[in-house]
Amino acid sequence: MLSLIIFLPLVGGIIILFTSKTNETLLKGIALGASLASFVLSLFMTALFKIGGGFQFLELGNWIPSLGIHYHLGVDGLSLPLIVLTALLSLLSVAYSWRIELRLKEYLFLFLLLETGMLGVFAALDFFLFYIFWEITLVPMYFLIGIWGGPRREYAAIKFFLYTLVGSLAMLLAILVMYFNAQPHTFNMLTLIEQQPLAAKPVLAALAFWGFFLSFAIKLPMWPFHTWLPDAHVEAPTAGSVILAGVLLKMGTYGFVRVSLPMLPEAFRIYAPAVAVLALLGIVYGALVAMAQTDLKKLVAYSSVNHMGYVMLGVASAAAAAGIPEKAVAAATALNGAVFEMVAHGVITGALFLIVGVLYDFRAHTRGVDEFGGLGARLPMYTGITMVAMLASLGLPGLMGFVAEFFIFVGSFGIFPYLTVVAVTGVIFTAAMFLWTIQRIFLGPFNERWAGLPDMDTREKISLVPLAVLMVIFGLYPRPLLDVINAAMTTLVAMVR
Amino acid sequence: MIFYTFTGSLRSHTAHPHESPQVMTVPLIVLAAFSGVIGLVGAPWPLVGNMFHRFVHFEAAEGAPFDLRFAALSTAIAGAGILAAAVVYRWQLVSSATLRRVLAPVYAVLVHKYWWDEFYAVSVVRPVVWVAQQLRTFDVYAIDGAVNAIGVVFVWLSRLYRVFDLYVVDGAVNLVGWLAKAAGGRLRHVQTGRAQNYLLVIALGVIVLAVIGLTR
Repeated sequence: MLSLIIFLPLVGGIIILFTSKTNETLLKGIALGASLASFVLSLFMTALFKIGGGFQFLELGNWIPSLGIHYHLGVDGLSLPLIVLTALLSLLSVAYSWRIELRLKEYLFLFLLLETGMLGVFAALDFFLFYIFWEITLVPMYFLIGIWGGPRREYAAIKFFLYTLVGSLAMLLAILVMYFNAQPHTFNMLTLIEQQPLAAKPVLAALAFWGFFLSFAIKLPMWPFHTWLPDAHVEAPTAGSVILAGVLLKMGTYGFVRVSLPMLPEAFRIYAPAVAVLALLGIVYGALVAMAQTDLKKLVAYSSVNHMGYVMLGVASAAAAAGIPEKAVAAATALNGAVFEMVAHGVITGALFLIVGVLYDFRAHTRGVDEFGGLGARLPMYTGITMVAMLASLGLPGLMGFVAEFFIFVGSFGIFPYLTVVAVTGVIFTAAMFLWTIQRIFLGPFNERWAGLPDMDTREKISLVPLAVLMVIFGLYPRPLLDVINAAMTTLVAMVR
Repeated sequence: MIFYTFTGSLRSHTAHPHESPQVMTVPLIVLAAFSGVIGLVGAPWPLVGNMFHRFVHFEAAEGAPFDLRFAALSTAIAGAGILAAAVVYRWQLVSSATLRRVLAPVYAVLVHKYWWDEFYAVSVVRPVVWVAQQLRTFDVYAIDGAVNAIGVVFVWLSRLYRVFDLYVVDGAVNLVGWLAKAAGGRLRHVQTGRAQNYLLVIALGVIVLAVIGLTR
């Protein structure tokens, strides 16, 4: 079933390649059908998922036996929410892309290929497979930015591609270090976690750690590797930004939790304070730089730097507590928060980029925060959803972002109390930044230039309302999601100990 | 505020005050009714005692005993305030403009709310926004500048390699070709096709060999 979820979008993409370019309705229908089928199956898988059952829906087949490479898939409480999130955001993005006119066929094919790549990264349990899926996501994104992007699309696309490729190669080297030090040589991630091949070789472990770190930190992105993000986010088409922020960034944090933490716990524990300080810089710096932006899309992009900082603070705290039994509870709490924040950030920032797109793509054609004003009275539906998303992003209790940040702070306070105190000030800057933005766009005197602006249409509501509903549901009752995550994180912390 | 708003003659010529609809008046009446009697909950009743005190009672803290002088004093202060307001706004024995002039410094402090908002803007809001803008500049020029600089360095390096490749590596390959061609071009003139020339060269060669052989 997992293979079906991953490859259904690709099958849809291939069918699209053999469909006439002129039949746009059919093309869109196939894309929507493929992503919908994948999403429905992922929900079905969630229903069958047993909480606390470890890795499930395993698929294992020989692929290149001479090198010990297997086709190995499986999900646990960490990857399941991310797979459902990916399928959901892809589905909503396809629905949002209904009005793409330029080279629709190529656009839809690349989009579905991207979905397959992302789902594969979260389900792969073999490093070779993991690396292939990881690289597959790069190519479609490069073309999505480079062809359907904004005015500086070529610059942004090449920057995104080269920057992440540098990271990928560092990861490849780290994977090879793991491979050649395992007895017998294997790419199997579960075996590598069990074996800990680098436990007795601190220098190699440090090298492998920093190799993985570079790759994941660029993807995340952590300060100071973040500058590809504002360019790529701003220039990408709306659906591309949604996927970029909602899913691609999570690949970095997923890597830290899936690879760095269980495979190199010793090295990560040693360098955790450094990672936490970088995360802290991302939190405070990201929020402040976002505050100074006048471009709405760039503002949301920098708020991602800020939020991914929270995630990394949680992960680094858990890493620093590795091997200390009395801090295991705090570590599990911080990790729960970090993974919850991954999902929350995916939902919230995905929605925020759609919101910017609603205003920019078909209405105002400008993203200058200062150019609006008083839109609240004219666009009530749009204003309401934006307020929910922005308040969720700044961590208002009752919405999804709060639960995540609360868990991260509670967990990391037990491990890095001083750093956490500084991190909490980042919340104030985030709040100031979003409230100031709401004030400048929706409140104050109405700018007559936008007198003819219509409110959201059905297609935009279909893309945005589910996300807003999720923010409220998981903000008020996070338990279903937390139970799934918690089981996996408790196992992980126990394993690291 | 009460005297100024509800008593005396209408000062505005444009406003037309009217009663609010029930949706506003009914909740207001309920709130007013409670605010009129809520203070009595905290009063020292003869039989049940201070009900509010018992409601918020903590184990550790001892409740403060009721002090009649304290109650009388606070009531007197409140009454004096009402009286002063009535003197100025109800009976208008003292003009409020005169008061403003006489107590100008006090009035300035109060009307600007102790300049607290201005202090907050100068000490917190503006520095934060300033820092944010500086960091943005830093981000664009320093961090992203470094990233772009690496890109530019590699582009220049690749141009340098191109020049090197074009003139040195490919130049060497071309040089070999050119040398062979040039040598061939020069040697072409040797190939005259006349038998006499070849015989002459052979003869000269024999003589040279003979001379070498004799001088040994």
